[in-house]
Amino acid sequence: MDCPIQTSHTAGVILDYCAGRLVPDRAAAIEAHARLCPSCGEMIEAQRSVWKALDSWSVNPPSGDFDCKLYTRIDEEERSSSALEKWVCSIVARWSPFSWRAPVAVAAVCAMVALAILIDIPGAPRVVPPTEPQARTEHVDIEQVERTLDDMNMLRQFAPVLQPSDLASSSSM
Amino acid sequence: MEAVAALERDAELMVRVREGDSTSFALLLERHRAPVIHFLFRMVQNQPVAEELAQEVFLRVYRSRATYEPTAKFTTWLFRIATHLALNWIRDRKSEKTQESLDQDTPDGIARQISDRRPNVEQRLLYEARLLEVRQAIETLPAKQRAAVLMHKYAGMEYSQIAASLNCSESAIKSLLFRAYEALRARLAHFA
Repeated sequence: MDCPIQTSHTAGVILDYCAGRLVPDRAAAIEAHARLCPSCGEMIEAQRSVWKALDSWSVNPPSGDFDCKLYTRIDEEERSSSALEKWVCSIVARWSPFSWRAPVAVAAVCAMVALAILIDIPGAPRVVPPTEPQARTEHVDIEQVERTLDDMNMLRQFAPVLQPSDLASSSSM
Repeated sequence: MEAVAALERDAELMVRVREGDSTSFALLLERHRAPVIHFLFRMVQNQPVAEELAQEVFLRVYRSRATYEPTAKFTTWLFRIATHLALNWIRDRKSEKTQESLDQDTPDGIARQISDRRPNVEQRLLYEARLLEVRQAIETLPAKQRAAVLMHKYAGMEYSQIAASLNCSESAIKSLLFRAYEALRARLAHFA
């Protein structure tokens, strides 16, 4: 078998061996290897010492009132959450005949407040409404004006050819 | 097989807690109270703080009952919460010296009880000195290494469970544990 302490990954086998977590065959292979490999033998001994030292660290049992304190905290939490629930229910109950109106009204008020805040944020860049001439230039399309003039010219050219009856029929259409 | 059955039982109990069965929560508390408190005590080395953190762990378990899904092992989930709380506490108190000394009385005035059945005073003193050495060796480990060693040694958790609790890969945990035990071997090898 290859020496397991070559890398930290394979050396984990020795930790598992000392922790008694290896299957018997694998443990026997490690023991056989450790007899021939002084480095692994040393590591196993040192790890066993650590294990023994850690085993000696006993701790106090939990205090007797641990559960009682925990259940008190749980009760307090549940009471406060149920109090909140009751408060919400009482608000809703007040609106019971119009139960659907309450949330709608609240939502509408919220939306209005949000809109007011968005419109009136101090320091926010304001949109300046365009002045009258600017507005006009934005709406007038030069190409469209040219096209309209061309159409009018063309109509003028056709005007003598068209009979008044044709004009009447086209206008009725 | 027995361990697998126990894990399944935990998940089953938690599902019952989700459905509103408070007796199942009491059973879970009974099963895991001591391991969680002991783990936290060894992490923070202060009994009242460990119990306070353990209360928070179980409170969080109870609060999460409605959303609990048995996707991971219950113990892994439980120790993940405990580790998270302990690491936060250690981080917050890093600058403060909060470790209780062995000769310091507990807050309620009762002298600390050390489970030592040997009547010899000399042996008792030696034992206390060694215990202090072990505690200090553990305390000097970086918090994550400490958590990994405690879960590996005392909670008997598998690498995959420790990895899930510490949010690391399994190979990262193996090398973390190797470095931690290497440091402990350097400090505690004379215990043989």
